[in-house]
Amino acid sequence: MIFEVLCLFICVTALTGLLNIGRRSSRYFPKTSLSDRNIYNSYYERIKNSVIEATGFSPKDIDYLFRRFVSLDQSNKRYLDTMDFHGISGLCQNVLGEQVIEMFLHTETGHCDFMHFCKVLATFRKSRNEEEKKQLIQKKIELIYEMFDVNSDGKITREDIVILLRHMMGEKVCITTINSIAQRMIYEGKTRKGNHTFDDFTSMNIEQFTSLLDKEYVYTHMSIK
Amino acid sequence: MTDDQWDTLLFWMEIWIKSVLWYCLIISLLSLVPAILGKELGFRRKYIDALYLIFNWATQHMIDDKTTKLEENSNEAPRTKKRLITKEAMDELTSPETIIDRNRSISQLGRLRRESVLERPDHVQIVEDVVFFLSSGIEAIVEDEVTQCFHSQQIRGWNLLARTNNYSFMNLGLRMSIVWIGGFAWRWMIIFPWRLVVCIVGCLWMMITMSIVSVIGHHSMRLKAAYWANIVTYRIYTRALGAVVNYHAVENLPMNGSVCVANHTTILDVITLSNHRPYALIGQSHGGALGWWQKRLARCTKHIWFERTELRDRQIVTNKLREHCADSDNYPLLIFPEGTCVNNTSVLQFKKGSFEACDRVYPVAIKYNPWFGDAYWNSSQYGMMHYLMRVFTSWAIVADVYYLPVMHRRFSESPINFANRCKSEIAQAGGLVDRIWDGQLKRTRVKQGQKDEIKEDLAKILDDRLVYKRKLDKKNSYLSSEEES
Repeated sequence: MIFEVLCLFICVTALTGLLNIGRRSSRYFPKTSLSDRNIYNSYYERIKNSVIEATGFSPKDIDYLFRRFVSLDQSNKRYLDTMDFHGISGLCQNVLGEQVIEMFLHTETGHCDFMHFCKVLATFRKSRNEEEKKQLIQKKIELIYEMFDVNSDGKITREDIVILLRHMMGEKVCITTINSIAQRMIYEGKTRKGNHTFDDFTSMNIEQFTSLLDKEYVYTHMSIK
Repeated sequence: MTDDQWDTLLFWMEIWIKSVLWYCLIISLLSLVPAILGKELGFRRKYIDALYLIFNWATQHMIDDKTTKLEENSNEAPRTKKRLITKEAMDELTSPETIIDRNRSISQLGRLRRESVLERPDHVQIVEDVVFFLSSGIEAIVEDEVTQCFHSQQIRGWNLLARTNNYSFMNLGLRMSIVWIGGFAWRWMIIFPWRLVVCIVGCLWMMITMSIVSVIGHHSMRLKAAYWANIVTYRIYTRALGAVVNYHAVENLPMNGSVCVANHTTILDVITLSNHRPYALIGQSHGGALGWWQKRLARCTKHIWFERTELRDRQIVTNKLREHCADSDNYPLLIFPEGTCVNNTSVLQFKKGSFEACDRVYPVAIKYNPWFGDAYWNSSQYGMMHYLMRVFTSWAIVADVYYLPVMHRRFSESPINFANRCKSEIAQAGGLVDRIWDGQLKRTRVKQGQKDEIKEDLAKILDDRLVYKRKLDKKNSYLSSEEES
């Protein structure tokens, strides 16, 4: 009886010893201690309901997004910063990658917590019914507007568009082409809205911008899942 | 303790030791003899068929449970998937599931050129481009193509293992729990010791025979003996893993003095392939248990082991490879050009180094069936021993090996294009997704230069559009002037 127990004990220790010998170093993905993970999970439980209310995602989606958030946040800070976003290879190759990252980060702190992360991603949802669809489309257009409005003054000016396009296409692109495109864009926007005053063709506000876009196109091309 | 108690203790000890020894002997014979003769007793295949029936029953049962639960809650429409799950349907259930309908990733930049409706005015096209990049950026944040390749493949069912946690198995009924406990007992108590014993037998065999073979003087006899020793060793290891390997297109079996490339999922790929014929291995020299195994192998067969730092010196590597391929007595060199283990749903970028050295390449595609056990080794998550324990305690490892016809490098083809050609052949044969990403991206970042290239591409697209538009305008004005005249 004692002998059996002794043998079992020796086997168990040998096994655990073997398990430790072969372990590769985890310098690429820092392992989180159990207490960190618990803190993270309890934080998640607390905010989960408020996130669901604020964004309209289903619980399953929020779970997936949380897992993704945790895998991006490698040092367990409970927020994301630029370094974490730069770890995504698809984003690094994207010419508008910087702007996308800026959308997520708060302007003062440069951090993005989970609530904000989900809110930004909520604009890219597909809607479940008709009224929601109109709201979502409006939100999506607002997002594009923000992206074009480089200096964040509430209006899109010709300089804004030029800066954005130069950023997208590099420095070598032909400046006259871009200027003409920007001018055309503002002209079209103003004329479509019915505003025929010829005095101010340097800037455009959101209603005019909206009139430029085909709403259905925006909806279909900016929806994920 | 009194004398009586000592006597009974010794008596039971004797019986215990004797039964263990008999157990080991029977297992050794059952695995060793068929391995030497090269025949299979057929037990493993029957076991796999039995498992299919069990999984079938289990998944059906779970669907039934779910539908009854849903009908009780009556929140969503009940799913009525009451079809019988055949083998083919099970294969369907293992196709990689992605969250996002992926038609807007960066690698689809070419579609910008084709898809943009060129009749639309310039400024609208610009906005569409912005929307394109915005969406693909968000897609990358939500689901990254690269990291997706390094997670274990999910199956849309349950294979009665607690590790594949698709179904929250807290909600199991009584029947399923009993079945799961039975499965657990079978895998850990019965199969695991069996496989461990066979593995030890294999190691012993390898040590003994390879030492003997390395002593033989006569050249051609040594070659034959080495061939036989190698292949029997790997056959024993295959039985140790409980692996069932199906070989397809055997007429394309790699010949001596060439290079064989395959997609890499795990360190056990070597065993899966070498079950059929021995290969010369090339790889990083490890320490520990794996290093000991490598040194044993090197005794009687010519393998190439590198330090990771040596890999940087390209010329040394290429010379060694060329030297090996030139000798037609040498086994084909087994190379995994991806450089890292991938999760067997996709094939990542092939490194061009091995394709520079040799012009004759035999591609091989290896596809594991994830229902029976997850073969993917995530080396940053599990160490070697932990991984082996997972493999030993899964149901089995079922692999399909597809030998593809030999590929030669064409006259003016660069090694990179040759590598990509081989990669797409392998991806097609194995039913894997062909991706352009570099496997090392799981450790490093993307280079800045690539982004600038894309920017230049975009500028060029803009120019092209303008040119096209001018042509279109010219054509329109020409047509309208024709109508007038």
